[in-house]
Amino acid sequence: MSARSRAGVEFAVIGGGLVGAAVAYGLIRKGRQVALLDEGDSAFRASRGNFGLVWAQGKGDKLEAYAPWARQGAALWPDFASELSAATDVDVELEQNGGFVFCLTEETLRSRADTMERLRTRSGLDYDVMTPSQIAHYMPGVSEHFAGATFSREDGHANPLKLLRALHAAISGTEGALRRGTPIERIEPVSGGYRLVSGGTGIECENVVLAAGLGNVALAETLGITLPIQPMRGQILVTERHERIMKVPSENVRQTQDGTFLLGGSWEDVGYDVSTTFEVTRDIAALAVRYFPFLKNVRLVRSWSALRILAPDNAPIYHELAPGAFLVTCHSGVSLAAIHADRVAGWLSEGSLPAEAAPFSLDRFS
Amino acid sequence: MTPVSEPDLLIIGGGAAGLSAAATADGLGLTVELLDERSALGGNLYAGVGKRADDDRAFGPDQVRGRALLAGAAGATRSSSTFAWRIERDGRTFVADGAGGVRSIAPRRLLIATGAMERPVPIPGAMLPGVMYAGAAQLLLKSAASVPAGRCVLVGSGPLLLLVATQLLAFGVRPAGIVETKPRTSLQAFLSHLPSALNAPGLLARGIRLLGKLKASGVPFHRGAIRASIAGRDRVERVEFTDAEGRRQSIEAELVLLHDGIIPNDHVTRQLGCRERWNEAQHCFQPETDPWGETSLPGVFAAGDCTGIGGGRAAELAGTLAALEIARQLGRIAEGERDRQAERPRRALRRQHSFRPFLEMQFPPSIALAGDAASDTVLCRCEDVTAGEIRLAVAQGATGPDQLKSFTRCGMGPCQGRSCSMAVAEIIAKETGSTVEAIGRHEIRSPLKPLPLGQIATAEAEVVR
Amino acid sequence: MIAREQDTVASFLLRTVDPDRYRQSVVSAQSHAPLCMMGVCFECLVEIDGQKNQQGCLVRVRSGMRIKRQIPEG
Repeated sequence: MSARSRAGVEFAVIGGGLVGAAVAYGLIRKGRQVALLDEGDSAFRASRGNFGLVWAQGKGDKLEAYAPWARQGAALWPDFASELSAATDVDVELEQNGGFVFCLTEETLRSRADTMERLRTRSGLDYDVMTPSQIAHYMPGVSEHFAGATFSREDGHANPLKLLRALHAAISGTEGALRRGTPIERIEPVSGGYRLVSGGTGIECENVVLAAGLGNVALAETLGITLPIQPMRGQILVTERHERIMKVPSENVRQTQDGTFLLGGSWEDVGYDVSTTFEVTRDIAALAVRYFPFLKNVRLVRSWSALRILAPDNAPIYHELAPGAFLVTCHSGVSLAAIHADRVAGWLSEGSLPAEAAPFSLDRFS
Repeated sequence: MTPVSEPDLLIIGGGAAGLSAAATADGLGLTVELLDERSALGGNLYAGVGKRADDDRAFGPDQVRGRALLAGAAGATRSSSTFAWRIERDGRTFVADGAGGVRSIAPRRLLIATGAMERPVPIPGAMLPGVMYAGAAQLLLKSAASVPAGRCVLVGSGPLLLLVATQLLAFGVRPAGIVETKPRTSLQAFLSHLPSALNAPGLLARGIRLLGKLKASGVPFHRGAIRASIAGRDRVERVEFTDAEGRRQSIEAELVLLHDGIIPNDHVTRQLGCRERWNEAQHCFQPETDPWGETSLPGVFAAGDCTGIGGGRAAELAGTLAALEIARQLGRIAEGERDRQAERPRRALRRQHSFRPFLEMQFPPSIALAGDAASDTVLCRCEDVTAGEIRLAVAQGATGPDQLKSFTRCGMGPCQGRSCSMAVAEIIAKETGSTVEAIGRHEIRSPLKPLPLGQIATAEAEVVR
Repeated sequence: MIAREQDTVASFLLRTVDPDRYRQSVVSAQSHAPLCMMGVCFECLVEIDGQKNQQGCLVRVRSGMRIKRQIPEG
């Protein structure tokens, strides 16, 4: 055994989803030695169920610091996307031409606009309130029979599957950095770092990043820490391809560059159940057809559900659980991918979380 | 709300297994509903039996048998052009019909009898218009009494390939050649499987008669061909292959009929999450069932070729057995009565099964095996994904079928992976030094088939924002 | 063009049009034609009575039906 492998890797990142992969990618770019430990196909993998919005509007309602953070996250995306595409030849299909949140009734629209106004004072994020006929300019085929939407110019979308692929491709360009089929059962402190137990074997590292989504709960438990995160199921429908007509996405309906429509929006507190249901499928389809009547003739091809990883205030958590053991968890793996690869990886690379990270620590829940 | 019916038994699939189960269950007093997505009942084997102008040139005995089965199942509520787009694990089934209607069925027991499908054959040029599966040509003969015009060449391996050749001859269509890609079987293997095959002398004799007919016809028969491919610009122009002597050959063709055996059409049992197992001899996955056809999901049964290829007669018998057990579970007959009535069909089923190992030894998959497919060979027909793109994604870390699907869109098109899932598993297995059995196939998502959003979003559906 | 009694939309088109004029893939822009005729391959997609992407092999031809091949105009 060489001296190197006894000391272990500098950074072991547990979780090969969007959060872990973005952090690992960022650490590699900062010259760190990284092992990204990916559970494999059986993982919950919220990344594969992500709706794909690159979104700032509405974020930070319950945690003030999250509003500017989300906005910076979106601003870092263009450079992040072009670097990734240059490194891997994978186009992550980023478009930041604006985005809508639809409201059926005047009352929900008013309350939505109030929220956006409050957030504007926190982050400076500008917004408009639009009527259906104004929305039709961006999203042709929209119905006239609902109240309207809030619109933010800075929002957009990307392809979360391509993003995950690009990150994995970039990481696998470094020999030994991507380790598939490596579920970690527990974290044991050892001298100078940690030992991550996987099956009968152990992986030694100087620093460990817990980025395993809901899997972080059990992992943090092995360090004696209980995490206040909960699964929240979301079901998503995807249709067949259709001529590309939508210039921007909305929170309920977006059209991908392939031409398929993604329909989503369910929030279900059902524990770790990842099945889809008839009732929610029907309701999502009905709402989508209500907003876009032409969708009634477009075929549903696939549906799935994924578990959002929610803190009580829906904001990310960045916390040093123990010296050299960092927690990075959030529900917005796509929106925050760029800032995770840039700023968060930068903090970790320096070995400690700065004051800027303090509002996102676990301490806010105690 | 959408109307709900609550039959004792819901059968998905109106082929040999489904029809015979319907007849048995109906005879025992169960209320039975039977759905089939096709416009006529009968499945593959008995396609076209319902039509008025009987054409028995090639399908005489089968037509008679099929008509009898159809008549026997007359007591069931039968719907063609109707498909189950979503089935819950408790059997609750959501159904769509061609007219745009939706309804749900809450049966006490569910029987899946979705039959077989052609083993997908991803060889170079298989995407070209003018290429069809041999089974497709047979269905056209049975139902519409026609095949596409033009010089026809059959390529591949399996009893159906040879059968279709003789059926084409009977319809006056003379194939320009048969390119058989079946590897030669050793005499030892042949002799070791022969005794069990002799338990079903009728089937063996049928096979020998078939080969005799083909020989007598004088249709060029190239045996032991390898590296078969199809070439053409916008449509099929020729078939190319390396013959048994190692010479590259080319045959002009306008219609190519491909075949490399059949595999279970197991999309429904997969979506339900029924436990499956790998059938090494048939080189396919199949749902696990008990001797009565019950799957790992209590109350959900599967019978016929969708549980492993056994042929039409075996499917009929399996359907009968499933219906007997379902009747017992629902209290219509006692266990003793079930066993008494099961005795003859079970004996007959054993006879049918005894012939399979011989066939499986004779016709292992050949051109369907995609592990070594050339980089530019298309594996996913819907999304146009090639073997080379799959290999690249595997190298980038997609070593499982679900991750691979999300990286490449392979399996995300309208066929939902029906055509590519085995080929993908073959390639991942080859690239990672694993086996198809260990790799498995991607998860099947609802709906079972694409359907318009408007059909799902029924007008009464309550919308919550 | 007269349909036969048990003609599906796919079997009818296979008899009446060239295979390379059956449909065009929206992904590759290549010509595709029916492959399996048993509802599995989705290569026979066709517009029927204004509804796109129906499996032509599963739909029986009826009188008055409007069948449109999915090939871009021009």
